Amino acid sequence: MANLKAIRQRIKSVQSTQKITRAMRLVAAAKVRRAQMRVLAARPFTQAVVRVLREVVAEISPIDVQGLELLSRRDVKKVGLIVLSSDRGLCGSYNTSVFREVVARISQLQAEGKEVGLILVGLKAVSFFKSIKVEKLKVYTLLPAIPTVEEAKMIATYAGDLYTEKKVDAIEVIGTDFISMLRSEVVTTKYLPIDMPQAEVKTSLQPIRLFEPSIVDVMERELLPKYIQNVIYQGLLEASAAELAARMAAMTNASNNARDLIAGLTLVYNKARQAAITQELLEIVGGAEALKG
Amino acid sequence: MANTINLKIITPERVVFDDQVEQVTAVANDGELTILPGHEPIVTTLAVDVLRFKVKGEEETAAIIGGIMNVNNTEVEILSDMAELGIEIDEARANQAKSRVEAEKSQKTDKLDAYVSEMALSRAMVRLKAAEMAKLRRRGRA
Repeated sequence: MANLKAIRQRIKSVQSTQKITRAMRLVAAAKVRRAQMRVLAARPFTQAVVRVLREVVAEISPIDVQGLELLSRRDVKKVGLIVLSSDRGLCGSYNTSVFREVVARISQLQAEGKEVGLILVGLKAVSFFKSIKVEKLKVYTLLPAIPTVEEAKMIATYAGDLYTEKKVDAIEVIGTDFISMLRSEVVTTKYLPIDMPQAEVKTSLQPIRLFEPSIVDVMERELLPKYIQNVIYQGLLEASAAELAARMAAMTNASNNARDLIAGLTLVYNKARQAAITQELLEIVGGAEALKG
Repeated sequence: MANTINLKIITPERVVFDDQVEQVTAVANDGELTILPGHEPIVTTLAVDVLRFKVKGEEETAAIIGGIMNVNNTEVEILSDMAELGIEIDEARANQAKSRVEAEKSQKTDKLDAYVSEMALSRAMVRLKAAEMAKLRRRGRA
């Protein structure tokens, strides 16, 4: 009988876990829809900004933009890595796959003899890199669940300053791109200096691009601020959508596992219950037979 | 040479407009310029003002809150933090914003605050202007 009671308790505890995972799945599912819409809506803008900037940078001569530190290139001695992770767990391998990529990149850079500094976004990144001996330049945690332009601006300004003040000579962003509900991908984006497109051989003669009022004005006032801000903003949006999708997948799995576990346990429980009943019947019948003599 | 050019207005929130147009007139920081198909490539910064463009002979408007315009052989691309088509603009809201900001402005003495309300005011004004122009056109057609 004690066995029956134990099984019953076990079923109950699995059931309550299942309730939690199911609720978390529903919450993530509701949020991921909106996050997905935001990512998809923001993508054309970021892509356009990045494309225009690269086109322009590839065309102009460095002498024209000498005053702009953000465009200057120098020998890379130290690299800043911006790591985009989540504040909360229970989202499957979402964070660990980012960290794996970061650790690989760090050892690669160190093997090349370069220093590394980390800019960490998300509590999970902070606790993961606590025990790893790499310089942490800055930490951002508990950002709002829905990334806004404000946080992007904050991070972008800091990163831009790091670069212009020559504290680092290159910055890369490692985060997760949202591809679909079921798929996301860890990506490393070259942030600063601006990645040049592959030198394409132009067959036809292209007219020279004009700049109004001047290259420096266009760059300084509009293009560069938009670039540094929107790449981060997009990164944050992608990461939050990917996090929610990962959490939804993880919680769906957990709920299904709980369901299977309960089904198995119920079977065992019923078998045990029937065995107990049969046992009892046998005892009664045996007793009656004995009385008959 | 083709007689239309693709106009794209993109903001961080959405793609506001993406279609073939016959001409685009924008207000850059140092004056107005009109882009016709086959214009030479140009990159310019835009002022907070009304953008006008012609679709099948009809003039349309959009309120553009700053940004850049990138023109190449086949395309005019406008990247702005905020943009709305004239016909989408909620006039009542813009009017409200205008009167609110005007009231705020008279009280503010701080330079930064004054600048912020000045910007808000110009946004509201441009919205109203674009909406007004869209309305006039509709009336003219009827």
